[in-house]
Amino acid sequence: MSDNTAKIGEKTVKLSQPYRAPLSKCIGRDTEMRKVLAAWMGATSGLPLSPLLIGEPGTGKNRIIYECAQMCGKELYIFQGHEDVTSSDLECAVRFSDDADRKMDYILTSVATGAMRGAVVFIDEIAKIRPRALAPLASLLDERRYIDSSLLGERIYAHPGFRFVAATNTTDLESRLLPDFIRSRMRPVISVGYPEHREIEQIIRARFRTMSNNGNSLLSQFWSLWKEKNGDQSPTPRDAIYIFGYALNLADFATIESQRPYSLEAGTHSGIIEAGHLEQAFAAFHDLPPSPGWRK
Amino acid sequence: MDTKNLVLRLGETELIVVPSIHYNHVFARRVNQICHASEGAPEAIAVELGPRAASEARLWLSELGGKNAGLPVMFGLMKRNRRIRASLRQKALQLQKDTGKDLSELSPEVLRRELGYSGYSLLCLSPTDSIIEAIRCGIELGLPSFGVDLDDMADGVYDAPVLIQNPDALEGLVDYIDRNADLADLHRDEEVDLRRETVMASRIKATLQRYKRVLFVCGMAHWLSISNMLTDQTVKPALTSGTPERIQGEFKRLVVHPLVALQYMDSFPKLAIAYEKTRISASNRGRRGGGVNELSPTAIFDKELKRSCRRYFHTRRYLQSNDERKQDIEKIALFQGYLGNLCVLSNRQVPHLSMIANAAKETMSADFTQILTKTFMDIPWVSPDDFQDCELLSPSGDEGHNTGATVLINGEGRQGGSKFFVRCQSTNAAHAPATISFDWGKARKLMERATSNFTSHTWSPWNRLITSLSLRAIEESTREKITNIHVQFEGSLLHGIDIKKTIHSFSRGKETYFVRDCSCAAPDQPDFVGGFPVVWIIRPGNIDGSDWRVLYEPCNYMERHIKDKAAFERVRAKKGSNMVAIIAYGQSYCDESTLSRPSGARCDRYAGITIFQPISWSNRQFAHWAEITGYRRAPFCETSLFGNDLYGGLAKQYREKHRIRIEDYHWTTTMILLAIPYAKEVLTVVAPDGYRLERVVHEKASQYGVQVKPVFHKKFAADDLARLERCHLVPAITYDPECIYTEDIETYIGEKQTDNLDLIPAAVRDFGYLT
Repeated sequence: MSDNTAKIGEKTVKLSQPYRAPLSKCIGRDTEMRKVLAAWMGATSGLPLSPLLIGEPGTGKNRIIYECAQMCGKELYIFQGHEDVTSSDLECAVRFSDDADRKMDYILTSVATGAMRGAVVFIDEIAKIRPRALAPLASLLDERRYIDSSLLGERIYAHPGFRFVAATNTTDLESRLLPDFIRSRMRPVISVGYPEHREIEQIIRARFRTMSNNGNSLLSQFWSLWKEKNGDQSPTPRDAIYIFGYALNLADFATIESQRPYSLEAGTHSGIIEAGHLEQAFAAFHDLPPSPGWRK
Repeated sequence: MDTKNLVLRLGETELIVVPSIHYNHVFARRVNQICHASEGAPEAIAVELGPRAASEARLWLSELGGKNAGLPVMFGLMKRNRRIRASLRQKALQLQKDTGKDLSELSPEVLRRELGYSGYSLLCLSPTDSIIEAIRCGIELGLPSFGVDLDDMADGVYDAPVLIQNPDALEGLVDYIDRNADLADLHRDEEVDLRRETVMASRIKATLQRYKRVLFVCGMAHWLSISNMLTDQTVKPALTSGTPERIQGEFKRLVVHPLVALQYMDSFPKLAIAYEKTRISASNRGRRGGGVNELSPTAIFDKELKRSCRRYFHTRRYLQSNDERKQDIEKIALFQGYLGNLCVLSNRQVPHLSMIANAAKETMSADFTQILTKTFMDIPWVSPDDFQDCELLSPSGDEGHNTGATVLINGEGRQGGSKFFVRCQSTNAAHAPATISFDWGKARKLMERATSNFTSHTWSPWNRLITSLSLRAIEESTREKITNIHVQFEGSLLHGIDIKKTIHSFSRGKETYFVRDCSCAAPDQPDFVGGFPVVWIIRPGNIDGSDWRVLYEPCNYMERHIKDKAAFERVRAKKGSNMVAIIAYGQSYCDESTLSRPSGARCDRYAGITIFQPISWSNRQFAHWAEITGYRRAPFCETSLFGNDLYGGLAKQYREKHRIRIEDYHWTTTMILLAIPYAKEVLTVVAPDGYRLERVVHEKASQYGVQVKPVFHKKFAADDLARLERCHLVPAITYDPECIYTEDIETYIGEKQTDNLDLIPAAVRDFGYLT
């Protein structure tokens, strides 16, 4: 049996691949990470808990999970929630086989693969999944710790090292309604708020090292522009990274404007962000009306 | 704890040092024990406070009772802060240039964010703080005490709380310092602390020139640096001038709100109280075993947890609650396990209160969390009413600030107040009050307000009934939703081949083809956020004496729970001070005996009701609703009185903004029209069987992109509809977090105030408590 396949009952199934997050230094979020790890630790009550992270888009929920998985030395399997997910998408899928001798291949989904291999399984945007599609998780997240695949006709038992976590945006959770049978199994519910300004600045400094010389003035300009455009609403790390990232792209573009063809690859430019770039980036990000429900 | 002291011999003199974690009872106890010793007791006391601060603290502690008196919690001293870090001088100048304002004119938030500046520094007179304990012992023994630190200093910048070993299980102070002082030292702010430590070393040397044996109490992070300087001959003794002269008004005396005081009370307030109860005055010198009986934080924690569980699980409310709430009994083990794990990861033997409250919030029901925190906070706090000469320091309600965000409320009138950031000395920022709810004397004040103003509230069981019936109506109206289903191919491709289902079928050896069919099917669950408002037309005929009634959720009820306060203020200024919850059409209902009617109670009989959001909620949930719907899903208006407002501001708003005139149509049509601008996609109208919508309704709905869907009375029990008609408006003892009524009201209405709790689904009940 190769690393990509496993035997379940009499059937050979192909396994999903784990996600390997490209991680840089994580700034802040110690409390939230500690909570996730505390939930995953073996407790006297026996079962590890399955935390649910909630927060606004871009606040760093996924990043917290990547860090925690890495801290535990576990593989990470991610399943992206959306409205068209069916219950079988959480268990096992089939496809026409590339092997001429076989008609079909069974593909164990990332949830089932992660559970079987004792990895961390992360369902992102879980509240976007329709309630009935979440039914297979009920047995996986309580003391039974298995998932039944109707397609395979087999029961897939979770490895003792299996840990589960899910995340959702606040607005999705409020309007979509996670069913009670999942909500009651997902504890603790960890709220991920906006980071402090100091942390945003540290993230920007760590991410955009080329602005070290004029960093203070650029950050001051960032905050005053942000205040002007958004009032007292805090930025998320994603907001700040996108704005500075675009400002850097504008700076880079200025250095290659006369070249043909343009080189679009990272690491080939040497632009330095100036105040004008930041202003242009803000204009590009904020002159469009926000989409409905974009931010409270 | 080992009785071995950390003693530094400098020539003929001895410095007994207690390098402490601030506000931790273990170190306060060590100080107390040192002062109790019949041999080798100190002749003077030096503490890590400025000379003026130490002198002021000593003076007030003496006034508060002197010898053998307990120290009430929580008093504080606050002093204006005038220093900004030297390295930020240029930035401060630039900030003034950019804003065109003097630093004193800038908001505390900007100063805090840009310059790390707090307007005030705070010293809490906490019983568990080793520095305060040292000063108290000095008073009790009649020893001189000196502040050796700087009185004025800039705020230090410190990283995340230092994760050092919890001292609760500490065996010996010297060993503990050996193991942890290095780590604590790493987290000093060199720019600010080095100068302070130099001054402290210099002043200690001066003190040792006058006294042979001195007890010195400081923060653990400073000790390595100070100890090096004490043996460094280049650091000369300071030229001391004795006790500094008192400057009138330099320090403000404060009563500190419990939520701010929490940060200064060891792990939880009960522990501080237990310390105070077991503390023995240092004047009883020579008492065997030291001045304080052994405390077991773990035992105190266990006892309080058990007490909380008894209070929660044995209440009638819990026993009458629904299955969801009863799951708490199963989750209690998960909660304890999770809390235990958090302690392990935080290097703690017992959790602090913020950790306890957060863990409960994250794993248990909101009711349990409330009772738990209430139990842990249940100590005799100092009342500001008893200390009218003190000012009151209370939290500002800003979320997201771990330390320092406070409101200073002036003694005069105790309202309004100015906002400041106060520098806190607490080394554990996790003691943030944001997660803990505590109502200080609120019940009494609300009772006074309720009885003096006769403010009426709708009856909670009725709120629950109309909410649950409205949810059912939404479910009915959204039942007919187009949903894809797959059917076996029987000749028609319908809406195309369902490839996935077909492959599944083939994989099982059944070569059957499936096609997609967009037909009527029930959705999984109704979207209650999008489903409101709901219009109830109960009796559509003309009823003499009927009129429009408007019921509100006042903005000042919600204010405390709003996250984005600036946006909220803008809405309030622009739209009005009250969020409309119900617009009804009806008349007063008077068949009850007026003799049995409690004062302030009344009953209305409604022929029609428009409900804009679930009204079974607490103020916090209303606030959350208002925020997540962007203040767009219910009208706002100005008046705060119940009554006929539709002819006033609200009618004007409808007329000018939505071109709806209430006098133009029959009241039933008007009622639907009033709801249309606030519907999302579908407006549910519950009406008698066969009720037909007027054309103007369809036109207006089309204009707003809303589909109006009638649901007929036959879907509901006649009893429920009859009960819905009668709306009682009654005074409540309290309305926050939810209304509580007296037994008179229950008798008058003939229902228990806990009735209909089971009608509210978990998603609506828990709405807003998950964030």
